[in-house]
Amino acid sequence: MGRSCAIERGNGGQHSGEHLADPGATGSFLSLVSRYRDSVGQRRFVGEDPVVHPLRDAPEEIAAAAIAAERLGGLLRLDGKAISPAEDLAVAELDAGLRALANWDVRLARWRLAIAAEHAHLPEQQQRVSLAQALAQTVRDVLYEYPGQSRVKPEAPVVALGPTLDRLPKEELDFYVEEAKRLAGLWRQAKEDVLLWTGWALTRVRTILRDGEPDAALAWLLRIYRRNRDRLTGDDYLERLVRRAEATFRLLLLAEGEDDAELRKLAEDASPHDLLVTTVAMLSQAWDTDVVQVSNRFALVLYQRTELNPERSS
Amino acid sequence: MADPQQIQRLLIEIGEDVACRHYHEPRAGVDFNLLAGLGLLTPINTRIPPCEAHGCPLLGQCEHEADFAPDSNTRTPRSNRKFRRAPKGADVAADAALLDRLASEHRLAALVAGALRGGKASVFTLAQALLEADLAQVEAGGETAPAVRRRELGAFLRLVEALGWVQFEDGGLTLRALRLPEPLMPPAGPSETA
Amino acid sequence: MIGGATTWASQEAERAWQELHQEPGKPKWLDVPILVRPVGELRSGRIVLEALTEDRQLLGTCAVFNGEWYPGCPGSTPYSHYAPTLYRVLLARQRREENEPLRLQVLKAVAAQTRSGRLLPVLLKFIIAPEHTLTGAQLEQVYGCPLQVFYTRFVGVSYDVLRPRDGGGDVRGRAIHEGYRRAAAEFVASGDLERARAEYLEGVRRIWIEWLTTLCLKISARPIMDHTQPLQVVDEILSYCSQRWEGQSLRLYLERLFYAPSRGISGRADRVEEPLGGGPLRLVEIKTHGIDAEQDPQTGERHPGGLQALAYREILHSFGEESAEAVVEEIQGARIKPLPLQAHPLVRRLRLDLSTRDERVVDLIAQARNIGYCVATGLFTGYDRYLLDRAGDDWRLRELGGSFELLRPWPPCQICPAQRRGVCVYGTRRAGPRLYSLFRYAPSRLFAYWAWFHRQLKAEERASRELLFHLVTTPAETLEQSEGITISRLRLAEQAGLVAVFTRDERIETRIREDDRVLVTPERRAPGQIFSVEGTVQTVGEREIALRLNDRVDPEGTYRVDLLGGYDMRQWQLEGLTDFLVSAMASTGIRGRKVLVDELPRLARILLGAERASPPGQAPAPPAPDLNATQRRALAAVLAMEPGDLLLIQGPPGTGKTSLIAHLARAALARHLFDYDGRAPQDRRPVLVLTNTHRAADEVVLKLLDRFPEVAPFVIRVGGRRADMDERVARQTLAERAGAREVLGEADLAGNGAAVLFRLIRRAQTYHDHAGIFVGTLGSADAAELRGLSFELVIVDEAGQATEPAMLQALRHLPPGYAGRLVLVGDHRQLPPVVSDELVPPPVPEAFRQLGLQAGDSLRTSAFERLARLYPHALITLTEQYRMNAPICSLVSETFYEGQLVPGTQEVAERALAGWLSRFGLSVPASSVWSGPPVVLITTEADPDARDSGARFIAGRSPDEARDNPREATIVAALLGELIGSLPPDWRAEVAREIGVISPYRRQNNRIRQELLRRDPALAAVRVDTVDRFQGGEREVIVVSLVNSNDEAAIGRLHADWRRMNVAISRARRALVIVGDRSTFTHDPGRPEEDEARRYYRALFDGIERLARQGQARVLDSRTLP
Repeated sequence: MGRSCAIERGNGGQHSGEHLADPGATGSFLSLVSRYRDSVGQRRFVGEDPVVHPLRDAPEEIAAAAIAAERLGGLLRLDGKAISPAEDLAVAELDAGLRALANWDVRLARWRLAIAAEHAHLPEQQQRVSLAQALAQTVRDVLYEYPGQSRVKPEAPVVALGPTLDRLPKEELDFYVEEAKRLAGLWRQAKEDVLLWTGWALTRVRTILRDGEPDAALAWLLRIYRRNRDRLTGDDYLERLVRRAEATFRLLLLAEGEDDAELRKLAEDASPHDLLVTTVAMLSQAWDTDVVQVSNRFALVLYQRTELNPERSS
Repeated sequence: MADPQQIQRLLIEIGEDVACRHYHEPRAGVDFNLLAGLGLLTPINTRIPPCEAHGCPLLGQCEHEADFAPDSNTRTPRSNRKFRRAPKGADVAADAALLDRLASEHRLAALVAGALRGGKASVFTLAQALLEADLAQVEAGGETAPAVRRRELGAFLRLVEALGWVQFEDGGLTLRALRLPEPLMPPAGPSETA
Repeated sequence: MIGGATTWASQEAERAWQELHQEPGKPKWLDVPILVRPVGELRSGRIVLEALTEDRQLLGTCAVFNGEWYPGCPGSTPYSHYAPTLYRVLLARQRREENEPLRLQVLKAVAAQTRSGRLLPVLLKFIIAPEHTLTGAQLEQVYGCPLQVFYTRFVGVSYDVLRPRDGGGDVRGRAIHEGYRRAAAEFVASGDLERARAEYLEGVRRIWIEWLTTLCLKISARPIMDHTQPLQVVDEILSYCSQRWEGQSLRLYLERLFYAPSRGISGRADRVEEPLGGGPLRLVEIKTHGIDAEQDPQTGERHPGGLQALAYREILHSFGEESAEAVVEEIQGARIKPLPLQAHPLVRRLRLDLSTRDERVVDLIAQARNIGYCVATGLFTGYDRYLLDRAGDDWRLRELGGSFELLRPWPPCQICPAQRRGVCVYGTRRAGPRLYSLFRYAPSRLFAYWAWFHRQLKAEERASRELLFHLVTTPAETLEQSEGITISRLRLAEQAGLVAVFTRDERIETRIREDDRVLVTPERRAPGQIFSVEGTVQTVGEREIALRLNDRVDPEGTYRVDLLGGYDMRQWQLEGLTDFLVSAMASTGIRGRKVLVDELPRLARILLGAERASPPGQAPAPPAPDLNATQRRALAAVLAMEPGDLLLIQGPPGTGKTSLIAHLARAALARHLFDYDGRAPQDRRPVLVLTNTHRAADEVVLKLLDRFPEVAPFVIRVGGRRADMDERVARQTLAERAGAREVLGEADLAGNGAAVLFRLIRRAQTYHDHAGIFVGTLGSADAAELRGLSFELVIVDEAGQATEPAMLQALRHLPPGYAGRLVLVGDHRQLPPVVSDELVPPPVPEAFRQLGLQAGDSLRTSAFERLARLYPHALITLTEQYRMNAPICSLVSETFYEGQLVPGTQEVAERALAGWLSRFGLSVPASSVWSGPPVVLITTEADPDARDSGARFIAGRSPDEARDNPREATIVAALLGELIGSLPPDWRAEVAREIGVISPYRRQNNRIRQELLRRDPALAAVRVDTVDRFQGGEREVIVVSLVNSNDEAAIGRLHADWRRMNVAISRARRALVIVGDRSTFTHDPGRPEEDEARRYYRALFDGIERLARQGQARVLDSRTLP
């Protein structure tokens, strides 16, 4: 669809070039839209799945029908053909959902993918959304389940779904099935491999800090510190930060009546961000690899649909 | 279709490596329970090798592969599905005539001979004899050899038909005894009746 | 609802409304029912309602706000479910254009002061539509996981019967419950421990015999807890009983029906103890397994149950038993742990105070009840695919509000079928691919087909759910006089064990018949309070009624008996229908996108009219000398079927369809005898025969045993022994084959009971492993014997009588992807499926033409009839019949079968009454009706006093146009009296047994029976019944009394279905007499829905005239008879 659709040049509004909505027209137009929505809602309630078609050929009817169809996630009939008016919205929401997954934001991803599922009508698009929903489950398990639990199989939903998605290009499908297996493999390896475990824990800290949970972040940073203690000896600035972090929890463990003003003072200026930055710096030095990169390996890699995609080395 | 030559060819083909019934049975049309019953194959029921360990040609396309994957927890039992050739199997691979004696020593031989005492019997009577044998085993209360299934009985009948002991009649509903090996000869009356 | 209870309720409502207005701004507890209707446009945050009393008098306007807020309210209650659920119910009713006012049981309300100073009543807590009853078990399920209620109770997802699933725990629970119940009753009655122990063991023995097949599902090497625990716990139970009740006098109410009309909840508590010396009632709920256990926040201990006990306690309080206390008795291993409700983890977690009326208890029960109602009736989503899919997004159904705290902390996924089938996204442990957006991606034709039948099943279920409320709130006289579903003022005449006979002085005029489920209640109490007992009717006499009850009743006092309606079989039909939707979608191997109807498995495409069924082929069949040509063609066609094929076989009356089915079963067993070895995961067996009724299943088994005895060891009759079952058929049930009755009968259970049971199970499992032919009813598709088995060939008998969802049950046992053969045997020109009369069929969409459905079709249209219309080329009609002689055959054939039907042999054609009687050395009374030709029409159109008595019970829920016609009854009695009278006395009963009298109305049958007894006691052996109960039977002589004879030519709903007439007259072998008013049935009063029937009746009477001209029939005027 080219860029030729008409955009008004400045004279529509009443006051000095401003475009103000006309309350009356808006009200009547929206009541037209709600009439379509109610009639479609009525017929859907008894089991039909009607295609929305404008009752009269007047422009506002066509516009109202189109908007109602888009909001209901239904199809629109225009001169005989059924159009999915919100397919582009579905694609946009799908991409937003996948990006959120790549940033480990599972809640946001699930919400956007639900909208995409609601509006997608083309089979290939629908299957891409279902695949993304399965990937959401994988990312959720990799992120929130402790590495290596035998009961949990993060890649299972994607591997089970793969062979049934017959309308997706094989290359894209294989890419995501491999990606799910890679993440699950990393997650299982992280149980034994201390470096990988540290990367996984850092991922947890980064997502927790994004969601604004300082104490939880401190807890995970302490776990990282404790797991890598033998490599992190000697730096007293780090020790001070760790003692501050521990103070916040030691306060909780004080016996009755025992009060330690000094602990409380230490706890006040415990800051997860400083501790994070210092820990990353010290760990990178200790492991002489960039620990953040190790954490990024737990991120979902998105399939790019361009031909330029370099052959992935296995 | 389960004639001695076919069994011999299968045993030669298996040779020393692992034989999975999901690969061989559809191709050779021979029931592995029968071959195990005849002592030609022994089932691998402990440390069952996964499919890629013995380079099965069906890798990647067989629906049962998941059952044998190292960490699979499907509830379907994995015993009695992969076999190795037994010493007797090697002998038969060399000389198919051995099958006649082995068949007569099979548990089902006595049962079939018993049912065919009258010279002729319906396949249902044979199946009922198998049911009675099963019930007797349960009555005895012991958990001895696994129950013989009708599928193995069917395979045994096809084998002894190929060996010329018996012959199927009127659309496979009745079985006539032609030549039963001596130890199984019914005590009274000639084997050949009108 | 007229008079009596409603006026009392209206006055209560008005009083409460006034009281509310006296104290503005102060929330008050009301507990009164009102009717409401939304005013203006519905908005979820603020609902404005118009309140009316039960008598439809306007009370005023009121409102409901989110969060139980009201003007001037200090704060709002987060997570309150009341407003969102009410909004969803009102919106759904609007969408369904139901403008009947909605009943609310208002529990708490306030007259709030608005800013403008006006008083606005605001409803805070209420029960929505209390007339719709939910059971205690359903409340527990809502409390566990509302989404599970949505998938199992509304959508109807059920377990996959092809996957083996153990049920041993349930049988262990049932055995302990039954044993404990009998021991308690015996101990309270006799105080003797030994007899109580014997009763306990008898209870366990009875359950083990009845449920042996379920115990066979688990393969175990030695006796396990399911077998041992019921016997280990007996001593503990007996000592507990004696310690609690030694020397006390009390009454026990065992498994009595509980019902609170003001709460819309019903259920059965295991035991209620009433100390005779006064003191509070003690309600006991027994729990044997703890999968749905609650965790105590302080001690961490886990205890099951709780919510049901709380709900039943709330019911007791609602009838004013304020001081009732509740106890949960938990049986763990060999010990009993009684736990008072106050100490139950559920009560402690929610910090409920049971001593006073704690509003949190009301909230907990109201939330479970209201959300349960909104979800189970489908008002939450209707059949909107987008809403159906979106419902699965959140297991707590957040859109309905509802406090998380009042739900279980985590959903019981491991026992949820929706999780196992991949329908529910929450099932984390499922390995297989999930059915994402199942409803949106289902092909439109499959979804429309599912929704169309689903709505009708749900409508029927609604009627049966609202029956109890109707019984309680309608005065007994109205129920008895105008609806005939109640008999009052009965006295207990005698009570032997559990069979009780009630009598009264005036005549009993009622619709209650044999085998109906009834409720017996002392007249001073309302039905459903703990004093009423459930039972089934054995016989209904003129002044007495005999019932088999679940518990004993007090000898003194007068009683009332209320009709509870027939067996509610809609849930299993719902599961059959939804299993078709889920399995068809799952077996496409396509996920994540809209599936097209052509991508469904072949058999599903055929059923949905997307692919033509292949015409019958021919395959070599084993020799079958005793089958005629068309039967052999049918046999060959079935053997030629490919997996995924469908074949229809029409079996008109007497054409030997049961013997054909026996041949089909044997041929299939022979073909697949050596194919399968019963190994998991897919245990595939040769053939499954599913019928519509138990009687037909027994007939198939009998035919197999008679015709092919060598097949007997491999035949299993699914289900347990039934009272009216032939002995030889009973021995084919799995439990009897293993000798359960004998072995368990004399075994000393206390000693080595578990070992005896274990060996019995091993033997039953062996028979089951070797079985090849399974015969059962469509309702038993999920029976333990069939669980985990798939079949090469599935035959549905009496398919013409099975509704479409019932027929779909047969598909559940076809191999995955419906790769099996389906044969439907039936006759769509005989009786249609039995569906309740008040079913209003929804409109048939235009697109359904491809399904073979047309306007006016409904659940009454069987799948056989629909598919016969769609694929006439795939229908084989058996044309040789072996029942009726030539004249009767030609009458039936010309009228109903376009002349296709012919007598099978010359002997059949020439059968005559005289010939049959002469075989016993008897003869036909000369110069009587019987000496003439075999077909006689006695028309009463000119006979003035042969008019029918008009319909009696026309009011009420489902009008029963019961009529009777005294004159016709006397004519029938005279005719039969004449025939029997001429015979020597010792032969009369013998001959009478071969006579059948058929009329459509039970009241006419009663009248005929009384007339026959009055004329000659030997005539008691004559079978007098309605057409529906005669289906499948046949007699030498058949007399049909049409009954309807009136000026407005009303033939009534039963006659409007001409197929009943076809069944009636085709029961006769040698003689057929029709007594009735010809003009009423042929005159055209202009009612279009009866046109088709009148066309057939005109053809019938013309046929009789034609036979009369050939001398094979006689037409007499009833006035010429005495």
